[in-house]
Amino acid sequence: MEEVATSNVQYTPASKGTMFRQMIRVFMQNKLAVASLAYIVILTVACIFIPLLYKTSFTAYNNFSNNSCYDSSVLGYSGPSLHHLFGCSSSGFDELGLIMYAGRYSLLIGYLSALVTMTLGVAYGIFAGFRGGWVDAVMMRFDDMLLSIPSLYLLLLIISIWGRTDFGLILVIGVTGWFGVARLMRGEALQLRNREYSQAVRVMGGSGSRIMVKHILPNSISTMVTTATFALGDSILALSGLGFLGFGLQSPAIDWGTMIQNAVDTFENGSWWTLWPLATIFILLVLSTNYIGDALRDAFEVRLQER
Amino acid sequence: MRYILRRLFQGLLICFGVSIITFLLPQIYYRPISLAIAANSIRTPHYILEKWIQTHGLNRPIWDQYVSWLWGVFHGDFGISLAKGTNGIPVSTVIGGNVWRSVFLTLPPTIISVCLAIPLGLTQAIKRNKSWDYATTSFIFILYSTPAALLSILMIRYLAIQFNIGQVGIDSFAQQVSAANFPMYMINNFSMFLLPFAAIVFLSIGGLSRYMRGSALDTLVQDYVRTARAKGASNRRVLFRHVLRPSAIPLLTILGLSLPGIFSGALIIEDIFNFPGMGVLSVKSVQVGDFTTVMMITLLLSVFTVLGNLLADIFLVIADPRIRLQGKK
Amino acid sequence: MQLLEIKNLSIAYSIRNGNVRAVEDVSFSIAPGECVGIVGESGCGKSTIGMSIMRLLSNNGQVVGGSINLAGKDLTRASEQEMLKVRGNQIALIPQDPMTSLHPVKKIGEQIGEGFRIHRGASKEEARARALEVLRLVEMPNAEERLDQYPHELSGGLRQRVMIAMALVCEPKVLIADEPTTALDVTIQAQILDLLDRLRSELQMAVILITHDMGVIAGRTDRVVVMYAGKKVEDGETEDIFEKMRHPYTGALLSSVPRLDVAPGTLLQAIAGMPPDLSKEIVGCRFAPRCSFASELCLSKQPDLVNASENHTFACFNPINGPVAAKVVLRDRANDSTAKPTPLLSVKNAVMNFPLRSRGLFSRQHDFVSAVSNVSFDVAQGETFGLVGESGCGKTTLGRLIVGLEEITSGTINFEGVDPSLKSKDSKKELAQVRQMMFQDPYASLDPRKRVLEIISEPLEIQNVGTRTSRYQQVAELLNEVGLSPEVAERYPHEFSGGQRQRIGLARALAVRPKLVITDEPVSALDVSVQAQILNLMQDLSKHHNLSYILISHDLAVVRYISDRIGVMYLGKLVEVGPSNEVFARPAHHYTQGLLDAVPVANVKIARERRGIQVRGELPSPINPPSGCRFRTRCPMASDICTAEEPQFTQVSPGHVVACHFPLRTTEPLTSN
Repeated sequence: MEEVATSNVQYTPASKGTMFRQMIRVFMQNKLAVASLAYIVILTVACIFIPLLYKTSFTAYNNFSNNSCYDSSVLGYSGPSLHHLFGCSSSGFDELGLIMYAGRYSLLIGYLSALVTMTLGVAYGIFAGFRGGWVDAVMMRFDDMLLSIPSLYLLLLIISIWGRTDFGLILVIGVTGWFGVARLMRGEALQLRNREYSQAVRVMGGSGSRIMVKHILPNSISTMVTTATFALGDSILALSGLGFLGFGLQSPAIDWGTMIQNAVDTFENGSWWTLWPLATIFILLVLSTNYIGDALRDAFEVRLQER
Repeated sequence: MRYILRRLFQGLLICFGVSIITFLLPQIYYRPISLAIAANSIRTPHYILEKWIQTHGLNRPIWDQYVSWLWGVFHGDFGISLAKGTNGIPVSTVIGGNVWRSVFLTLPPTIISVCLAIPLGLTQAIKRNKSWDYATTSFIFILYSTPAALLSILMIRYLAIQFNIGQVGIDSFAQQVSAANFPMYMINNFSMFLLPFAAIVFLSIGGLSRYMRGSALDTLVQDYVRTARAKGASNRRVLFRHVLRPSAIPLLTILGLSLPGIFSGALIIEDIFNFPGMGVLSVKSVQVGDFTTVMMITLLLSVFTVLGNLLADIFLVIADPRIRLQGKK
Repeated sequence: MQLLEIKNLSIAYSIRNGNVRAVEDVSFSIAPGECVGIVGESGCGKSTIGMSIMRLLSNNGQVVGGSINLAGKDLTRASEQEMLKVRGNQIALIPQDPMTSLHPVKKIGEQIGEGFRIHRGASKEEARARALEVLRLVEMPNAEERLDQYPHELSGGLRQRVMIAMALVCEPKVLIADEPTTALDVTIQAQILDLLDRLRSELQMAVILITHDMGVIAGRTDRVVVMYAGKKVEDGETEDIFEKMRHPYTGALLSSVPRLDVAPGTLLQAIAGMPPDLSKEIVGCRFAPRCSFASELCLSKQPDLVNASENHTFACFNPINGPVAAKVVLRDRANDSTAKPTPLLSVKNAVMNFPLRSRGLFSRQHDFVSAVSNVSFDVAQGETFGLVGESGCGKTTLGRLIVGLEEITSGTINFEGVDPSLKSKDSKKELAQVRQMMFQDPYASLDPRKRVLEIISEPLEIQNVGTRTSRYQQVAELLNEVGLSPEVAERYPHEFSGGQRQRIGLARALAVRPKLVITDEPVSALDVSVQAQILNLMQDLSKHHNLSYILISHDLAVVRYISDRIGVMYLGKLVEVGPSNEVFARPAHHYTQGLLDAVPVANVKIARERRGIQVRGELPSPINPPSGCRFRTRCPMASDICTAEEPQFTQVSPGHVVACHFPLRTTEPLTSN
């Protein structure tokens, strides 16, 4: 019995899509989340365009163009200056340009591997949860198994086999990240298949795949989107971890993790600019994904309350 | 009781499964010949390579290799290291005390993390959306978003070097300390271990406290909390006697699940702080292609994870009578 | 002086978009030993009042006017410290759902004794002793053992006794019972209500009984406060309210609810429309938009309370004078079962066993739940068959078996001679054309992400009927039939009320023009005023299309209203089957009689004169059902033969059979199948 006149007592004559609009409204109310979204978009755009426009060359080791960092008088690197906003790296490249360039790879790998993770996890999880019974039990045991291997170790193992190409990294990070997603989606599927509307389809003579695709999948969008944002953050972190250990991309490509590793050595000698800007950009990125994910969770919750 | 046995059995199954995976993975790619070449050198004549392959049993059918490997594992024989120049030292020697040292590194901070996460999450839930919640959540999010590497480096630079809190790294002497003596060693030289401990705590507290917050929020709106208030219980009483336990119990499940993550993070931390554990070892082994060692390390860590999960389950059974009594009804 | 006096109480909630005035200007009082009922539909504010007395409103609720006086002291002005001393001590609460209201991880003894420790400073042992004392007071079987058990080990009825014990532990002066029996089975409900009555007189407590069930009000209260949309519309002694009511809403409530005490075939008067939105300003009488007696004045000005007699007040400009006579429609029911063509549905010896989860690899074969045991019955074309019983009787499972959602363990279910155990996909589709289902929960039965158009046309899609455009046309027709305008096809489920959603669900079920629709609790989740709408709709559709229904419900009155024949189930077995009128008027099985005795009736004379419930005890476990007759553990007439031998069906009259060794009517062996 309700104490409040909730939405089952009144009804809003609304047009389709209002639900969606309301969710967006709630999301927008969360200033941090909006800022985070803006940040990610700006960063992505920056990483795509800055290397094209910012005239600093860094793809070749020995490039003596006017704006290059390589200065025969000073060996290696120097601090921020007008020409080089973030200073120069130890290997003689402009730091800002390097960050953006590495960003292309890191972001690309991050997005794509999150995509792989989500696709695998959602498909596996929903299928397992929907089938239930022994199929589910077996599939989940398998998933448990994979989950109990510490991810970084698994990554190391596979990377050393596969090789350090960007495609390989995407695949590897994507393939090692889906276990947790599968578990979550399986939980969703288990819940949703017992809903009366799913059962109604069975009574109508509909097939299992119909229920899965037309009813369970759309209704788990909220979990999926939230999970996807967190998956993005995790992918980026995983890549950086690999890079740091020396398993990142090989030249001429470079990623942020490797950059961090390079920075470590110089850091102790006081060249803070090799680390701090990168660190800030990086942390803000992962932070953004977390804020967005959190805000999405809240936004979807509101919608659920409206039933 | 039956429940525990069932979980134990499942855990065993999982370990088996993991062993198969860790065994098969390298086999898919590493061809015996390349291993042989790596172990010896490129110029080694072919027949010597063949001999090497034969002695190392790498040309036998896969399932045969698996069975004998597994058999060996049960007997403590973890195979032979394939690293160049090691000339076939048993893997168990290579790994040696590192295993235990790694456990000593990760276990205490994890426990501390749990103990901190519970009150943190709880207070965040109670003061939801107020300044405390926002402030601590932001702090946690930042910790959560920082890669282990960065965090450790920053800690070293600013805490150890600048403010002289803790030390930059572990003494190489630590390697000599045996597993049994290690705890005492850690206590005696606490400042050395302060930073790595703190790092692990920072890394794990994010997820745990977030979960606790969610769990506490769920508990706070339950009917039985209202019943407690209807009896005239003060807020304090309600919190400690009615809300705490149900909120904290699910945390145990999450703890078990986050063990793999903690181990992964520890890998990097060990690397940076120069801790004589499995972290550095595994990275090196991967680099040189010593896959027997890598296999073994991965397997061991997974077993530890399973054990951790099992322990969490046992605690769960003790703490939650609903599970305990599932058998009766 | 009255014990508790509520004066001009107003309560408001703050929600996202503004304020909801949940309760406005309500006054009443209660004396020791008295039972005052607060009745109304959901959203009327009755629970809110109850919670506010103890200051247990959720965070966004607040008392914005008036006072709550307990023995002279105004609780609305009391500090939180003072309230802590009042809660559980002078005023106690019995909440609605005993399942979720008990702490899952604490022992019962501890939970009961807690109040005693808080308010009397007792030690653990003293508290435990008191808990035992109180458990005995509420007639808990095996009281001592229960102290160390956990809530999930007890059944619903026992848990509610624990809640009552918890409330009584400090001998409160006022007891607030918020829908205390809504979540319970009918026979258990009667036991609990009897218990409350007894305790009330023994301990001279004042009881505020909050409920939506007029039957409960009729039988158990001294005075009644009728609420609508946050305002009190009528208030008086129970007899006056039921027999001489003045407010149209009270009258409408009583005539829109299916009742067992009126002649079968009495048409239910549905109340059109819906309660108003309390977050908006309301001009005039709140009930006026739905009132059949409303005038211009009603819509513009709010009526004040006036006296009908000394203790009877109401607020209306155009009051009625006692109950409005209702039409009696003689329904032409299929009373005789001879000379029948092939029945539409024929269930024979259906058995459904659910295996219990096996622990580990070693599964035990004999651990299963006997949900449906050897059930046989027929349903003819155009007939409405009601399946009635309490929780755990298997009626829902039986429904799911018929509709194909569960796989039968043994036995057959035949539709017009077709055997549905053929597993081909096509036969499943064929069957879907013959039988469809209408679900219970209006919120969960429609996919929230699909528009009404898609929802209703889905069965047509699956059957590959017609084209897109032709389907749209069909959907429009269906919507029309269920009383909705075709434009709603563009909308999403969340934009509709519960009753409207049930209509959509019904439209979906009818899309393929099935011959049989199984409905499981079609109106239980709806407000009483809306129930009548849906029931009448179902009846009309049945007549129009010669549709058969299997109506599964725990609500006897609902079943009686639209069923031609009914089957009574207990613990997986059918115990009595027969024409609805006959079974209700002169039941043959003790359980049926017990159910009829237990159902609260909205008629004060009958409620006060009826004998007490004869069905004792609790429901046995379906894992280990009693041998012989399953009802024997609770039957007042059970004897040795009932334990030894399972009773077979015997015939009371053609078409009316009963399975009992000592039936209430004379029987003869079965003449026809």
